[in-house]
Amino acid sequence: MSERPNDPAGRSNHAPDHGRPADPDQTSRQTAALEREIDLALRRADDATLGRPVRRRRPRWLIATAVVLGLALVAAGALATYLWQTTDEWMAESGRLETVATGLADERDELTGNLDQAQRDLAATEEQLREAQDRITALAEEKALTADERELARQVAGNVVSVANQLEVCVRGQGQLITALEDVEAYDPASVSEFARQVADACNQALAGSEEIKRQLGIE
Amino acid sequence: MRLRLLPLCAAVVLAGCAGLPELPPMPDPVAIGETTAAPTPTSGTTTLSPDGFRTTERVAVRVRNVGCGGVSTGSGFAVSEDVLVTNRHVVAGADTLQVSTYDGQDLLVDAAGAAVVADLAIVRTRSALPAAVTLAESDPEVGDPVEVVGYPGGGRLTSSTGTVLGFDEDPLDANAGQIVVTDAAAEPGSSGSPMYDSSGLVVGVVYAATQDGTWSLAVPVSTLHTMLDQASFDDDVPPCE
Repeated sequence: MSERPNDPAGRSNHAPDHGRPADPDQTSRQTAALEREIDLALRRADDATLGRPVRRRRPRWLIATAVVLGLALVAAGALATYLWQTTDEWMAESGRLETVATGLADERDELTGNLDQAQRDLAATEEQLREAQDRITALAEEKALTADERELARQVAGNVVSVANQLEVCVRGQGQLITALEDVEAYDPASVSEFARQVADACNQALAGSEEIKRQLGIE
Repeated sequence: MRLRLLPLCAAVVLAGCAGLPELPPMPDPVAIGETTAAPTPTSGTTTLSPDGFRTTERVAVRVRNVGCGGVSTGSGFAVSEDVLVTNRHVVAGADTLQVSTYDGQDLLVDAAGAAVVADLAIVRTRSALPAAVTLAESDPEVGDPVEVVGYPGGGRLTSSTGTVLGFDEDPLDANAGQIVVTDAAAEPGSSGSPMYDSSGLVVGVVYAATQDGTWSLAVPVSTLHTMLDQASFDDDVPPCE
């Protein structure tokens, strides 16, 4: 057992004395430190006497490392929890989207089928429309040509009546002219000649009308 | 010491969780791929009627001239509800004018008048015409595509296409000023046919064709504008040519 210093004057027995007065505060701090060391030494001595293990002070770096590792472990656990949660949510979202995509694909297939059918119907309708238009145009042409022929026939009929009248005048005049020529001395020659000219004009008009009718009918 | 670390660890865990990002919302899937917009009806002179005929066809009329010792036919087109345009020589010497439409309807004719300076005439109908054209503001240019719709040979309604070859003096002396020469086919009966540009606007009135029918001659629309401004139904229809 070591000797316990007890200096009532409050001066340390390790303090050098060079003849100068000691600083009271410094002396007091040194005294307190010595007392703590002494107290610690006494406690260790007591522990040794009583058979208790000697308590040693742990290094600071060890404590700091443990704290850092602990924090890292906690952070890793939190991150793992977060990732687990987000993975679950993304998987759920993926499943939902897959369902939606499948529905859209089915809908698209159905719409594509409807569109194909509508296009086939449209093509058939357009074909029918073209045929109907061709038929309308053909009927309009047929009607117009028939009307042309009707008008032409009407004109020909009018010309035929005119020619018939002119032929009647021609034939009657020629008959009268023959009668006059049978007794030519009974008539004025100039009058007979003028009458003959008028009859010839009538006959020529009838012939011209006849030619016109032939032309209208396409008869050469 | 361990007890003192517990609050610190809890604070670190909470702070770490609070700092983690929130799960972003994922957008719903949308259908992708090509989409075709529904066709919208177009307006203009080339629109379809309920019977499927184009306006350029519906305005075309067939003109029958009964007179001059026979029956002749030509073409024409409506410029309003009751006025149509054709050639002067189509209506010349007519005792009776008869007009029919693309679908065979016969229209009653009220009066006719002819221009003096061009081979153009106007005819007023008592019955309403099916549709009317829109006239272009200016004459076509060389190289412009054109379409002629009419009744060549007095037959069915047909159309021929070509391009404007140029402008020239009228070889028939039927028109004052220049006429349009195109390579759109025409033949007797096409006289009075409207000549359309690519927009469906009338840019000329066909009045003659070359002997082989490969070229057509047309009165330009500028002359038609002048004629419509000046012509009257009191103008005499010319005698038989």
